[in-house]
Amino acid sequence: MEIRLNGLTKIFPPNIPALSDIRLHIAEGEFVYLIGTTGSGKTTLMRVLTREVLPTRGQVIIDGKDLKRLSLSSLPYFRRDIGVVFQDYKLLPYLSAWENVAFVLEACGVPRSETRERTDIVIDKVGLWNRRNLRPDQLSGGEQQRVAIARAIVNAPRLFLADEPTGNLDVHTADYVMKLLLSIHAAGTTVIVATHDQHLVDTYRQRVVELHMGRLVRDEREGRYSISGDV
Amino acid sequence: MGTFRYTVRDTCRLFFRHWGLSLLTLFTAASVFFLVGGCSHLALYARKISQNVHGSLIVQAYSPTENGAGNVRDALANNAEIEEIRLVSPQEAQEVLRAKLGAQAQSMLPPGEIPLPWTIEIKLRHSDSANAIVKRLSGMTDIEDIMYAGALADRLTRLSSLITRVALTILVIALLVSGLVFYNMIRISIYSRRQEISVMLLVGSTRSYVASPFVLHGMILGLLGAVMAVMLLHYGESYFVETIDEVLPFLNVHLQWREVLALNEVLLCAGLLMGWLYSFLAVRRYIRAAAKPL
Repeated sequence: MEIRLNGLTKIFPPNIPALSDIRLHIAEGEFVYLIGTTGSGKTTLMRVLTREVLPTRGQVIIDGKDLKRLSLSSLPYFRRDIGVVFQDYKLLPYLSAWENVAFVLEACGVPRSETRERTDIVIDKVGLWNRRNLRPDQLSGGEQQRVAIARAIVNAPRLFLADEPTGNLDVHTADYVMKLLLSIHAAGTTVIVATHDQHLVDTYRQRVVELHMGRLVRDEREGRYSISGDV
Repeated sequence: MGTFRYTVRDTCRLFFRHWGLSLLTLFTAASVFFLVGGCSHLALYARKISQNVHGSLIVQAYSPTENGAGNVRDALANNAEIEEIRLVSPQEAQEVLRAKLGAQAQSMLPPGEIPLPWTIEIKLRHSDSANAIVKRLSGMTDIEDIMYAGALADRLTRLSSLITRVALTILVIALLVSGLVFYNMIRISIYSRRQEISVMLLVGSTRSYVASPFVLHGMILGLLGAVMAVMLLHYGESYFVETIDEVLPFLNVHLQWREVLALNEVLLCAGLLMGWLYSFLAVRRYIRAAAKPL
């Protein structure tokens, strides 16, 4: 999916600016790190891309569609092309890992046999085959993260958004998750990862877009976490 | 098929997760429909009693002579409002009276001249025409007195229509109160699952897909409430009719099975419809708000 942000500004009521005049172009199939301090606007930008938040000013154009003009009835179909990994995972607590993943396909009306097949493949891909029948509270943080990733990719999305996908994970698990994201990207999916993880950004070098106080302050091809390379 | 499976599975989940609230709603719905059904039955019984009284309404006119009674009969013979005219002689009337008085008849009705007049019994096709017939009889010179229970029948008709109006008022109030309980129950169910709903909406579920278990939950509760009310009404009615038959057997308050069946069908449909309507309104409002971007 190709993304164009033209002067994107978001001000939450009563008068709290979250994003200011963001101009950005992300080509189809790109991998982008979105970095910045807490409160810099990373999560708001992600939510704008899923149309949870509407811009106060400016345009958000995804695949030629202006999100402001997207009707409520066509919104579910638009979102089926986007896979999202939330910061807090948002897994359904009463469903098993397998059911949490299958549920997305079920919600999209995919036939049962195909749902089973696709879910099995994805669960296996994230390395949770032996843990597939456990509920989220019986899984570790890293495993929950992988369930969330599996849920986000099971519908073969064209845009993959991950908000802090390696937050609270040890280096080893974070590497595993990152390799998963790179494999998703290798399949041609546009990937945007909002992160604080310097190790990740510096190890797996990709395009880096930095936000500060809601403003875009850096856009660098194969960038590092910080300009000098220090934290 | 996937939607159907999800709807059924999540509806069951709603019952188990909110069993206390579901039971409360179920009993409220049952009470409301019992009240509604009871009022409707009461209105039907009142109408039935009024109809019975009207149906057995006979105007009795008295004439001192046989010729006079014959003249009256001839004058009314072609009246379309009259179903039957019968002349009762003083002797027949005396026999009837003797039978009614029993042992006292000997002292109250001494032998000899019979003091009773000729009676003209007029059975009407419709009770509405009683006043016109009575007015016509009053103008006849051969008639010395007239008796009929028209006033009682009119009062019963007025009472029946009053009971119907009261029943309708109770029905409307009960449905509104029950609707509010349904609405709030569904809102609480939705609120407890708000996180799931937001996830479902974010992964591309349509609003109708998300709403379907909540609406089905409401419909099942409404229907079950109505079924419970129908069962309670059945037993309550049997007891009521038996008691009335013992105490006031002449009222003959037995309803036809078709009337009872129709009323039960209406109650079941109302339960289903009410469950659907209020849960639909509650869930639609919430999901519209949840799906709306900030």
